[in-house]
Amino acid sequence: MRFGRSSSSADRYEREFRAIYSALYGTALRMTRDPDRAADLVQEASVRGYEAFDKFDGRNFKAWMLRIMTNLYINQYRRNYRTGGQVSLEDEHVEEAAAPPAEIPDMQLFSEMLEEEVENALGDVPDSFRQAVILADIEGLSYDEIAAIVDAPVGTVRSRIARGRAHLRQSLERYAVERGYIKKSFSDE
Amino acid sequence: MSDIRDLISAYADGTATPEERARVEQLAAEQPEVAREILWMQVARQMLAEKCRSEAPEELFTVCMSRVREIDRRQRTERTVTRMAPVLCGALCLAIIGAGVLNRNQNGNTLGANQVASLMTGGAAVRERQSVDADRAADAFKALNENMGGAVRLGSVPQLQPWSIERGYLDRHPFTRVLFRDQRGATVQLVAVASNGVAMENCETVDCYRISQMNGLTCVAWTEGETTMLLTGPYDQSTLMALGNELRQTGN
Repeated sequence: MRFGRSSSSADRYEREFRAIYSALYGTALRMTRDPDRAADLVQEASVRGYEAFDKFDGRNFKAWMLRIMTNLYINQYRRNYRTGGQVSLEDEHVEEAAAPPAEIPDMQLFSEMLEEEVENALGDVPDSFRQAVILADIEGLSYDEIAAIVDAPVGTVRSRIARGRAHLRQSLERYAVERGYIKKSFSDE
Repeated sequence: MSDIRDLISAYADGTATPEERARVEQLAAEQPEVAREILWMQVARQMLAEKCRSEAPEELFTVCMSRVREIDRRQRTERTVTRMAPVLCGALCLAIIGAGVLNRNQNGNTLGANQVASLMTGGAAVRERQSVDADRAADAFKALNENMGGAVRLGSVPQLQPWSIERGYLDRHPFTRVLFRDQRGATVQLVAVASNGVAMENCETVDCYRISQMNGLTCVAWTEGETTMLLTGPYDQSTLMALGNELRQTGN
């Protein structure tokens, strides 16, 4: 798609942006949990990214854009949109996930879960943990890349991912019980 | 549990070091809940990979790129203006200079009324002043002619005795001024200026002369080629015109 007059910089940016657009939107959607806010976030990130495009080192555009978008999210959206009663960003305020159920998970049963249910389970994970899990398990970024994006040490990232996965597992388990995919006794133990 | 969970998580996604892997595997062998935690983490990761796929709306992409193109256009305009600024300034300077030259050419080599007044009242810059002996009137006119590049053909008349010759420039117009005393001792001024015309306020034209009043004195002007003569003295215009005729005739 071309807009107006040709420009090598804008063309190159458009090509790069096209390649990561879905990932960017998906991450924005999962961070904000709101399609309108996600669209605003992606749009603002696209503008900020282009304004700083001459500073891009040419190595990992996806990680670079995710960092821009994450910073925007942290600086603007969470301050503006999130209100009292929401989970704090600070790790120490988040409760530890419970120990795993006594039974091993049945993958066949879990495979019947709907995408929406998984998204909802992910949405229940506290913010900073969810962000790390999204970047690691959905976007497939390395710990180093995530550390650069969220501006935190690799050890912190690793811990957040672990705790996020534990919370996710707990949420999945709850959804699975509610839908009858697994027996209630699994989660009660 | 937190540290163990970090290890388990790293084990589940394959980022654990060999030492960490060995420790997790040992813990899993010893503690069934560790083995279950590993499986649950693997389930969680698998569910995310399989179920979390979202279609990004194409119209949002279009909006994003529209904004990017808008910024691009603005940046390119700013860059162009910045790059072209010296050229535009140069062009503007040339235009101003060109307009000045054009204006000068359109006005020809003509002096304005203010310039003429300045010339006749001593306002023009005199670069050289030379006294002339009363009995060397012919030399004064010769000098006058030479100063004006041979354009002046005037001759001495007995009733005017030159006593001073001044040379200078009015703007870029060279001029020569000869001051005479007449038989009554009054000063008569004859100026030759490199100009093919002069503007004179409220002037009257008689034959080849243009006549005007300047600082209470009558001034008659006539042009010979690219040189204009201006003659003033305490006389009426007829006397000055007659004096002008005499000067011109004796020169021929």
